[in-house]
Amino acid sequence: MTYNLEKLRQSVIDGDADSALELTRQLLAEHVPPDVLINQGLITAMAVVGKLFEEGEIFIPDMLVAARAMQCCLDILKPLLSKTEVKPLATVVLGTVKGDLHNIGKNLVRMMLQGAGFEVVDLGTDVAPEKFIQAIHEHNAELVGLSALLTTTMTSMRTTIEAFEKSGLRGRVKIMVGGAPVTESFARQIKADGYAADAGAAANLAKSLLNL
Amino acid sequence: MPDLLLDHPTPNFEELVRVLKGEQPPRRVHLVEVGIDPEVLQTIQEACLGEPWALPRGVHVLEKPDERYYRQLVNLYYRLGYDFVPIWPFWVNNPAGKVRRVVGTADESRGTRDWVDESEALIKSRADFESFPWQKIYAASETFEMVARCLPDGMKMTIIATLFENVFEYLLGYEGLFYLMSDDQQLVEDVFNHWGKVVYDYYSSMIGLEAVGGIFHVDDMGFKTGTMISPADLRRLLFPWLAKYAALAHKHNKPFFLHSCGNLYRKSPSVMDDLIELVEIDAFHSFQDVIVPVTEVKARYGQRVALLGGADMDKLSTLADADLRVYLRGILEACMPGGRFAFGSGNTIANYVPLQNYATLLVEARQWKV
Repeated sequence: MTYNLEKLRQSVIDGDADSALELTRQLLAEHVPPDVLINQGLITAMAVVGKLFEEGEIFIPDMLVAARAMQCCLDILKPLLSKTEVKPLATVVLGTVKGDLHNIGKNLVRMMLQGAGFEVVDLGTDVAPEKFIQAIHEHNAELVGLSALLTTTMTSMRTTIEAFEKSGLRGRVKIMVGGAPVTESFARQIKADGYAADAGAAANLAKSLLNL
Repeated sequence: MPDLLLDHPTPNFEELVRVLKGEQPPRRVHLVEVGIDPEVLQTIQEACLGEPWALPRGVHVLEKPDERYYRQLVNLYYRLGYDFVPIWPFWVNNPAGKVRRVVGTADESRGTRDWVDESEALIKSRADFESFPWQKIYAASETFEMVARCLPDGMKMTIIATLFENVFEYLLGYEGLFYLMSDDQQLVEDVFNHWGKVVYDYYSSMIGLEAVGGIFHVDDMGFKTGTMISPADLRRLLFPWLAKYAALAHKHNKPFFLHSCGNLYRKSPSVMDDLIELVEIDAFHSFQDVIVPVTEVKARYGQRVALLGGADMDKLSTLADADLRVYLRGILEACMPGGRFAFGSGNTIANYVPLQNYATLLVEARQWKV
């Protein structure tokens, strides 16, 4: 069955949380299944947001309010999900590496990953390798995202990945990296699986790394 | 410890300005930094000059203007070969933003590092804005008087402040600014205009001093792939103030330099085009190779604006000596012809730049045959 979710998608893209919430309630009342609202409405809208951001057509404030609008809708849809047995695409453990308190870039990546349908475990900033490892085990994560702001702190990405290798996790999880000083070649050097230039690209990279 | 200091420096700020304006071909490589980390300065001071640093180790912010500190600061910039020393204001009655401190992880780090708390803000509502002490904030003139007394012949100070950075780092906070751009645009505009006026008043009161060579305004506008807010919003909120600051400097026949990190080169006209045409900056500082290397910016914009610095922070921090020399010479080869260029780091001499690499940058500049 097809549903007309265009207005809902546009409300999320515009960051109009009130309108998105009202439309979500209205569509639920019209018996549109919550998983359809999420997958064909919210996630599709956030994919458009990510693409527009990557193309330089919208900016961080636009992305944040779009993610906020999506989150408002998710807050009323998620409690309904167990009934329809919808599962996230995968679980991602995300954090800014040890010694680095940079938060914004990592938060944007979290929002875009959530917007793409991933379950995200956000460990925050200044995260030690052992904390990543613990979270990967605890949440059975398939993907890890490492963020760093500075040339000096991005070296913690290397030590984090080395810790994954030592703990035997390396073959079990995919690793993506990003942040101001990080480059594709640095990602290869430290044996990460992928590099994303910004939050918009991160969601696409996550899907590609997991063949989703 | 590498030998970093010159015995007989010959600073000449006026010549630097003529070179940057294209009025005179360079006779040597002029050096520029908008900042050298206090830890780096302290290490050079104590190792090369054998005099204790005026500030306790790990203390980066003065509690009040301190002439001994400024004397050391000016002397180090002088002995390192700079034509000017960048001077930050000492703000009086300015509520402090929240910072967090962690131990530095860099191999070269000599202590801790302060981080702006990105989720915190001084102004979260109209009520906060109304009660903020806008009228009471001013830059202490003693700072600039003290520096003026310390400057050797030929050397000047440039005066520094931030507008956009102060709004997103302290006044509204990153997240606060980004959400308020949608939720309360008037509050955002009012905060920009009130802090813009504070900065304007400070620049106005100091630009006439003979010891002040010009304004070196610092406002990071972007990140690797774009600007933090849209170019349209930058034009509306920030550029009118930057243009006023530039006009003020020009009225006193002094230059307006601008530092901004980030990708300002997307689309056409780019933000860089705006800075040149609308703001009328005289020189631009901050380059990251992952965005656009200074050599490419020189080729694209070098006829229209002077460029300052250029050596990518990652390369400056990580390259082995031989590779670093090749890299630095490549910049000088591309950017020195035609003048309108002064050399230095792409950002600052941060505490994680190995001193040997900083010495290599200085030596390459000093030995370059024009």
